[in-house]
Amino acid sequence: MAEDAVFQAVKDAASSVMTDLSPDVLTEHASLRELGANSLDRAEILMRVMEQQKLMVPMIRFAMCQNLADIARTLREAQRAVIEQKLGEQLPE
Amino acid sequence: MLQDQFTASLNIARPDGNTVAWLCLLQSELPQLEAALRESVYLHSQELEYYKQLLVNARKASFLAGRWCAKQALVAACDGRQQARAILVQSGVLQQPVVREGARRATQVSISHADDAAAAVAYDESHPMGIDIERPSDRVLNVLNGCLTAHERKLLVGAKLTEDALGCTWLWTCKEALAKAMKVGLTIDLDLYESQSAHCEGLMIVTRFKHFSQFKCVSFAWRDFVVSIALPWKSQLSPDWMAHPDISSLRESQEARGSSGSMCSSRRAEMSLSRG
Repeated sequence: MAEDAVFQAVKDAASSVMTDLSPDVLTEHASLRELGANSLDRAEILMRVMEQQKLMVPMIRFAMCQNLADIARTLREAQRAVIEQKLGEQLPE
Repeated sequence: MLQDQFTASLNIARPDGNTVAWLCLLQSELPQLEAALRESVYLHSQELEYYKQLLVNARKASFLAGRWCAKQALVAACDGRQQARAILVQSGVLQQPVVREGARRATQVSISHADDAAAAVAYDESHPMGIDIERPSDRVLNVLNGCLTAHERKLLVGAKLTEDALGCTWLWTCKEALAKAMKVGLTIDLDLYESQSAHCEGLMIVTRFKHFSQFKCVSFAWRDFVVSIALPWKSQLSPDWMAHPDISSLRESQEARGSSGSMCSSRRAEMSLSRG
């Protein structure tokens, strides 16, 4: 369920920046570029989703993301790292 | 030619010999771009095939506008002796444009999109260049502000500029134009594209970079957009093509949009003084 929440947050952020997008094009395999986002749009979408998820991930971590699923995965990895740091131990896979 | 288009050949003086680049700026909506495509197919067959697969109007518009600008610049680089549809521009592995077919030998192109605008500059490979176009707005102020380094904040303050939408957009376009000239895009840490200094030359702002001293960036206003072109630092861009873009238009459009424009006003005042 947590994975769905992160992916939903990515979709919400994309919709809020690119308001003309139809919800059915926001699939896991869609890339922000193919959705019409330029670099500034992409940066804004990432900032918004990080703000919503209360995360701060260096933009460079998203540089090679090919699609929305990759972005969500990067965010989940960052979430996991934060939790592990708080707990002082690695979470099970 | 589409109605809201600006093209120019850029004469560039260098100590080791002069060179020329070709610039095209465009502001156009999807219906006009599609009408232009119907009137004269300016896409290569492979580009057309890709275009037909696109589902989202925003991407269709940015692709058509970007390709239109690229083809205008590349055809001009061939002295108009080539058809736009014979030129093939593809994407490289880092999404950089790669001229594959039909253009003058060793000519490459840099392309940028923002809202309903696009920009392209065609250049000789021996003289790397990159271009970025953005519309300043408060919508992106937070994003851009977060990308400024401490030194750049001092640079703005020291130049009596402020961290408003226009100031941040200007610095962002410099970073992105440099990233495109380097052909790596924004896949490296933005801090590496830190600006070192900036000064006015006529209507243009000239920026130097801390870590990439080989390059500089020239920035100017076109309609309500900021355009930055990165080029080797010893290259002197002749200002003879600059009659059309007017920096003062930015402040007015900023005010009409309700965005902050204090950087623009101070910059415009400085530019007016330097022009006078």
